[in-house]
Amino acid sequence: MPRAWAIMDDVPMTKRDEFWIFLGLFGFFLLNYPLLHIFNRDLLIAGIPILTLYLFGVWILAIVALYVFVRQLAVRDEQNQKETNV
Amino acid sequence: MLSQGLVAVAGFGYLLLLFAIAYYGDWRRAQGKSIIANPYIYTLSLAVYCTAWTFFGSVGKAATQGVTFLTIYTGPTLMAFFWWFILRKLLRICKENNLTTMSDFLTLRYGKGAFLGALVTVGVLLAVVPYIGLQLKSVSNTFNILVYHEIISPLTTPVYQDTALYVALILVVFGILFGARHLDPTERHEGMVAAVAFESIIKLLAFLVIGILVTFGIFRGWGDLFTQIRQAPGFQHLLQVNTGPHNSYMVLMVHTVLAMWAILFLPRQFHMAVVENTEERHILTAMWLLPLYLLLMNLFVMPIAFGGLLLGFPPSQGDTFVLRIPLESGHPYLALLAFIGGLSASTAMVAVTSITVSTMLLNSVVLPLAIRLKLQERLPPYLLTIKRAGILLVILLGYITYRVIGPSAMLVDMGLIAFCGVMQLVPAILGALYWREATRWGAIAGLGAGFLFWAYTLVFPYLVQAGWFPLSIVEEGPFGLAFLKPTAFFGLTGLDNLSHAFFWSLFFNVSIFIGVSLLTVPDPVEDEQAQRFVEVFEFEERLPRERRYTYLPNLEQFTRFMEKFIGPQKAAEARQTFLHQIGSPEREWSDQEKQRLGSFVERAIAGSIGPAAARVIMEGYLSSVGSRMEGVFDLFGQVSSSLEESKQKLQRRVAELSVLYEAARKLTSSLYLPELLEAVLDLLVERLGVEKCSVRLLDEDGMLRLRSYRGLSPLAQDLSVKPDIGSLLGECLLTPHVISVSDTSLVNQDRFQGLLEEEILASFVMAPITTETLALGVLTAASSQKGYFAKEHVDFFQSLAGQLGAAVRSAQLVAHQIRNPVHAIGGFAHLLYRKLPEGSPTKKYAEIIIKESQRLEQMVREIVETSVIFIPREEEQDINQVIRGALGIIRSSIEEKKVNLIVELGEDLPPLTMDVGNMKRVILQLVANALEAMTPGGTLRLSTARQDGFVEIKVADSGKGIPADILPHIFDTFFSTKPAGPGLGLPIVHKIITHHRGEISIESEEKVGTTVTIRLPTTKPGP
Repeated sequence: MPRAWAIMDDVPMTKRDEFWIFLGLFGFFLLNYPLLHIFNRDLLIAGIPILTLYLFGVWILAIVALYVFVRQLAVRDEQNQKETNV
Repeated sequence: MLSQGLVAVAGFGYLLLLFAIAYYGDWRRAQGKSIIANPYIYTLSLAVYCTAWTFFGSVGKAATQGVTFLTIYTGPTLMAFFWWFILRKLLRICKENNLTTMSDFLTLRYGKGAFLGALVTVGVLLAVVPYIGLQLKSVSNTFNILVYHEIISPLTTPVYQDTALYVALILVVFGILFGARHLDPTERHEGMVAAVAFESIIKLLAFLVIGILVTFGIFRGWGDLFTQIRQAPGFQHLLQVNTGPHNSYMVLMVHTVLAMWAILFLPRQFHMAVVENTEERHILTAMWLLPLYLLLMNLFVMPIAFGGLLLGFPPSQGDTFVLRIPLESGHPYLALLAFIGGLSASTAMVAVTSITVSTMLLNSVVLPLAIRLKLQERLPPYLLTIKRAGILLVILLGYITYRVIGPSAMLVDMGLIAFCGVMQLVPAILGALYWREATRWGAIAGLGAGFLFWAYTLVFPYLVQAGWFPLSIVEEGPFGLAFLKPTAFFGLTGLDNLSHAFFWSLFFNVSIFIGVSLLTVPDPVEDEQAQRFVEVFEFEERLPRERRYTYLPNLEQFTRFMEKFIGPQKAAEARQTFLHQIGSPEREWSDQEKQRLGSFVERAIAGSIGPAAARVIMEGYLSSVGSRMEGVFDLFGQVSSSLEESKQKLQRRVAELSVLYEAARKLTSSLYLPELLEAVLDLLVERLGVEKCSVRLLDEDGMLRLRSYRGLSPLAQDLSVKPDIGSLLGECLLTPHVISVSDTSLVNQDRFQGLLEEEILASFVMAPITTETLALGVLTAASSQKGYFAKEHVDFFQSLAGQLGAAVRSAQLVAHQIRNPVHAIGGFAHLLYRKLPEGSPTKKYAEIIIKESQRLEQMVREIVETSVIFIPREEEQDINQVIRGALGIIRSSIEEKKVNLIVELGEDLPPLTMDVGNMKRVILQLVANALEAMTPGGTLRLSTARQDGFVEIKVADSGKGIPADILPHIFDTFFSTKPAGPGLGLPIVHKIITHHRGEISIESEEKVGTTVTIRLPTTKPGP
């Protein structure tokens, strides 16, 4: 295990970490009743049902959010490494 | 239509390619150049989540129920947000304890009894067996469609003509070759991971190709397909949800929750995500890449499903649209590609699942059973065979399920049965990770109830449907008890079967788990594990708790022992790993290393046989090699580790208190500073095991000078330093406060200024020696153990330094008080001496006054300046000269005491290298002691003589003598038979003589007298 990771463990869960957990829960609500009910209607946008668009849209947003999260963790890791070297 | 031969050859060819990849992967691992140790392969290996159910079943589901299938893939995406917290923790615990299955994980956390592991294993086995049946069904169906254009029902085929049976047998070989060629203590199969990752690429590509063919080749894009299906009669409901009980919002939610946990805890997911993980940070990439993979995998599901429906295929054939569309539209080779894709999905799932479940069976069922039957000694040669048999068993059970209930259920149903079964593990696992109060009985009761309700409300109805049980049980309830109906328990209706089973099983599982946990008390081992699991990140730095054995076999014996379980090659590797970890050869090991070896071996074999069995077998082994196993812990064995810690703390506190007490006593018993300091440092070394300690005092010129030390070699250089606030010493003195450094490697080197190099060990503490208003110096103590001086010990050093401060200050005050009168006496004596005429006897007396006052001044100075004792000025001197000088000083006392003095100084003694001041002090001390022991009229005899290689000095008196029982302690510090007096004690005499490389001995007889003999070596041969 690289040293920087061990250091990261010592950092208690930050607000940012909690924010990601919140996003996961938020996503759960987005993909369930009653929010789902809003988009559960017989309507095509550009030929694609609005419900399908919505589900895939939330999904893509979640993937983007996860990617941003991972990048942030990597940046934090680099900072930690720098701090250790000082 | 494709010929049977072509399809079979393509299938076999593909499997051979997979073997080649797997062998290459294993070979690279053996070379130490892993091909799977990168985040992308890790992500692709997690895509084993997508099975034939995904490949064929999603389309089937989309064709009948619309978008509900998506939840199986959005669930894992939501879970990815929590991976960094949950999965990483799981990973850390499993790697630390070398856990290779979920049952081992739960067994270790909830006490090492066998029952829980067996329960988990049986539950998981029941859950995944139909799931494996599903894969067999899919491979066999797709094969038959390609070759015969129809699905052949197993009900009408004899077993030996059933394609699925041959598929099953091929998969058994596949599983054994991938996962059970040899026993691996880490249960890692890099070759298999490589093959699975490859299959993940193939299945995604195959599905995308078919999707593009349907969407853009046969139809004109997504819009076209959706618009057409909306206009087609009878399919509108597929574009929406909540149109019936099968796609209600409730179903969507249940699916989402099941999928969220399935991505972590399905046996194959656990194996890939945890056991085969090579680096924690690979999770980070998988967190976004795996959801992306799943998204791509689902992009064309609806187009294929709707395309099939629009082409006129019946919805009931939805499971095979992926194959039928290219076949019917004149692309047989694309159909073959789809077959290969489906084959990839199935084989990956079956191989990984059968291997992991077989490991669980071996570790949690077979071995505990063997131990119960006392067969463990005979088992080792058969371990590999048992594992292979386990793979065979799991896959054949899958086949039997397929023949029994397969035809009556769609692909998707069997997958959801497995999801819901695995879901039962979630409360116990989350409890293990985050809830310290969770107990073994809570876990057993919760899991038991969960599995029971899952089996009764979800699996049982399928068995009824298959004709195993009378239909009346489902329709009217068992024994006519309507409230026990498996699909409407307690009269709960209006839910689909899955939601119904999900609710009841988890309702009982969670509430019983929590309730029983709160009502039962964990045993100490369990409690300790709970802490280690819940606080795994905090425990990082600590060594695993070792059990204590009175006798431990050596490395060679242990290696042979390991060989039985993991094979000679792996045992040799494990041995190397351990030696590497320890970093020192076996002959230098202490008990601690041996115990670490014991635990290491246990963990190593735990990898192949599970922790419960490993523990029993280790204990059995240790007792069989002739060692007496001293319980698991020592006298305090049953006390939990936290209590044991406080016991150690308590002991140390007692030692500290006794040091403070003794120091207080000694500090008041003498005013002689060097003695005081020595005594206090002695106490620190003897009572507290401090390795190096020293006292530095502030000189009158403002320099901090080293005065006394223990464990440090005296140095000739000037040991004084100007206290600078930037250095630790200066900070400690000037602020003043106690400084404790638990790890010196974290402190900037510049701050150590003034400390001796040998003083800077792994940790140290320094306390300012102060009175209320003055800072006098610094007390330091160092240890080569990191963190030796905890926060609580700071108080102790503070009070000790405070005591020292008071003593030093009073010695200083006394010295100052005496010094001025002595100066005056000396000054006036000089005056007198000069005024008196030459030759007058009074002048001689004045001379004596001058000499005596000089001696007194010297002594006073030495109260403050101690270094002269230990850093002597050495010069060559005739010992007789020294004795004469000393006698000149003390003669008046002798005369006053009215004793006879006989001086017999040997002729032509060689000159000795010595510190004249100290040697004179020795003579004075011995004479003073003798005078004190004698009554008037006694005889004091002082003699020197040349012996072979040394000079002997004798001081003999005719005094009261020293009692025989005291004699051996006469040189001990602070041992005195007389009431506390000033003067130098015998210990200081001893120290000085030793410093001159000489010897001192005392002979004494009560009421006859005492003779002190000193022998000093001659450095040069005499003339």
